[in-house]
Amino acid sequence: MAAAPPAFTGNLKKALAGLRRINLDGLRWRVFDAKGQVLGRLASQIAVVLQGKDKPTYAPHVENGDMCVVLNAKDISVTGRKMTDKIYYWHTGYIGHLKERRLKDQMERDPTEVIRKAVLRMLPRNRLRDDRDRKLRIFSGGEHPFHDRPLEPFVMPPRQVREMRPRARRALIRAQKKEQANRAAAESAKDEEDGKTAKAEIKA
Amino acid sequence: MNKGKIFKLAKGFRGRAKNCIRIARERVEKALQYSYRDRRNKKRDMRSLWIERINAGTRLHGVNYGNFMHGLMKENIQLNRKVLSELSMHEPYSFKALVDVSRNAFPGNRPIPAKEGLASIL
Repeated sequence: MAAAPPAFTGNLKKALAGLRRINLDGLRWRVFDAKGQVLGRLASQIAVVLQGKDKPTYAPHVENGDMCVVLNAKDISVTGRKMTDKIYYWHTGYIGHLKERRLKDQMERDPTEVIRKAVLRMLPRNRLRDDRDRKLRIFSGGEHPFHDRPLEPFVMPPRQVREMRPRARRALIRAQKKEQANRAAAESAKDEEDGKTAKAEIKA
Repeated sequence: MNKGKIFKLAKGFRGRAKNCIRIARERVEKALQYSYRDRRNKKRDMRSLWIERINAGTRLHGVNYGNFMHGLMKENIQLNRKVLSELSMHEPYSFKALVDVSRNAFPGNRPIPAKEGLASIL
């Protein structure tokens, strides 16, 4: 789409880190668009591609996964109340130092870490895990510095979305109606103001 | 006599297990037990690897492993998983023909969606 690709703002050093260590011939560069995708479902697809399990030449001792570039990490969505209620815990090793952080705060600090944690925790815990981590590049916006590589977009498999439960559906309809009423009220208020200013101009 | 045989089997072991008879004897016994067990495990692991490869190969054509095998059984194609995995790796066109045969016999999957959406960004 972009004839002249937009300049990549952001940490170029971090984006290109460790590229030399990966043996890149024969690997495809798959691009995932995280906009509007559910976190876990996207992460499981990324993990499958990263392990190379979608190729018939899969071998468990050889690292043969494709390079995965993930865009728009800040637009990832989660269902339910996970945005406020999902908590990441980690223990620093000192007694009593169990730290926690909510999804909301993590998204403000670094949205790429959310996807990275999700994918890393879906990979098998073996010696190839670090190499697979190196093949995963996540960007919170839509720009990336890999425009000179042969990129391929990844099409997510079709998903059957469960229909909403009756109470949730009623709440959603109520919220929509309230928004419509607010918008209508705002427009009518604006029209009145415009009308008043017009009359003031005519009078003056 | 016995010690010689044990040290011969203990080549490449770590630390004192290759040099000192008491430790080497234990480690060699364990190694022989493992090799007995793994001669049987290897058959299982290889079959599971063939199945993973066949699964990957058929999903490229929009069919998953279960439906593919069901279609083959219906058509009475008695190729085993080892041969099927070799075909999926090295003979892609023949494998596609097999996938089509299976799909005709047992249509159970939706077709692959056409590439759209993100292709406009890149």
